[in-house]
Amino acid sequence: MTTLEIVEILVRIAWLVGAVGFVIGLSRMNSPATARNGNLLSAGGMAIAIGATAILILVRQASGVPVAGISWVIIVLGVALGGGLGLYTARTVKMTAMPQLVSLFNAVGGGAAALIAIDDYLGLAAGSSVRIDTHIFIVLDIIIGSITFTGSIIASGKLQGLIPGKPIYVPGGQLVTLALAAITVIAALVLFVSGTPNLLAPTCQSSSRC
Amino acid sequence: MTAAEIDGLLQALTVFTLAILVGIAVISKVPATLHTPLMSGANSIHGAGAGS
Repeated sequence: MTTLEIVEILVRIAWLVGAVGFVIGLSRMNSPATARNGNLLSAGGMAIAIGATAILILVRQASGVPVAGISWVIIVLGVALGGGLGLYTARTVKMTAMPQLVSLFNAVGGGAAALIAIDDYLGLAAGSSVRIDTHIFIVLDIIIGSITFTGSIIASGKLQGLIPGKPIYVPGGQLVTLALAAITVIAALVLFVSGTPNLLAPTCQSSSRC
Repeated sequence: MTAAEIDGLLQALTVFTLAILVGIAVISKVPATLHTPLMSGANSIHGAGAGS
């Protein structure tokens, strides 16, 4: 095994350890007495996951996998901006406004997941054909992430009082929802059959499939 | 569909089903006062999942 392969295995194990930290941390939310400790455990799991990923990228680069300079700029800027804003708002928010802030964070998490899934798909489609199992997860990730994004923003707006708290009824709302669901499924099928997101052709000039 | 693809789908389905059960078991006993920190913790898992 090469050094890179060994590091990849160790990183996957580290991700698993992080995930176990999350689950145990969440289960310690069962009582206020253990909740603080549980939160720390979850944060520790997150730190392990981020650290392992950073090490993975560094070792890949050292083994000759090219990592563009702009990628590092985006990573560092993303961590600094996202982490900085998150830390600042979480420290300064009034305790009574905490639920809407958590909801807003949740929206950002969902949106990020959807964007990463789109990027994953573009990367895979530019290489070779996308396997159906991978395809299904990516499509689900985009759908769930997008719904998390919009739903959590509305929840946050309601908690903040920016949107009326009472249910909002759109005329023919159920039909609209049904139509949107149908469009989503059809779009996923078209994407699978065609294999290439043609709308994004300008971004995949280097690919033989475009 | 190739055998490898079906294998991948079944593996993912297994993990997904077990994760649902674990998820329900973990959060079902959390009191309402701790729902906000629970949301916060669950949200960070979402972020980590997306990152990997």
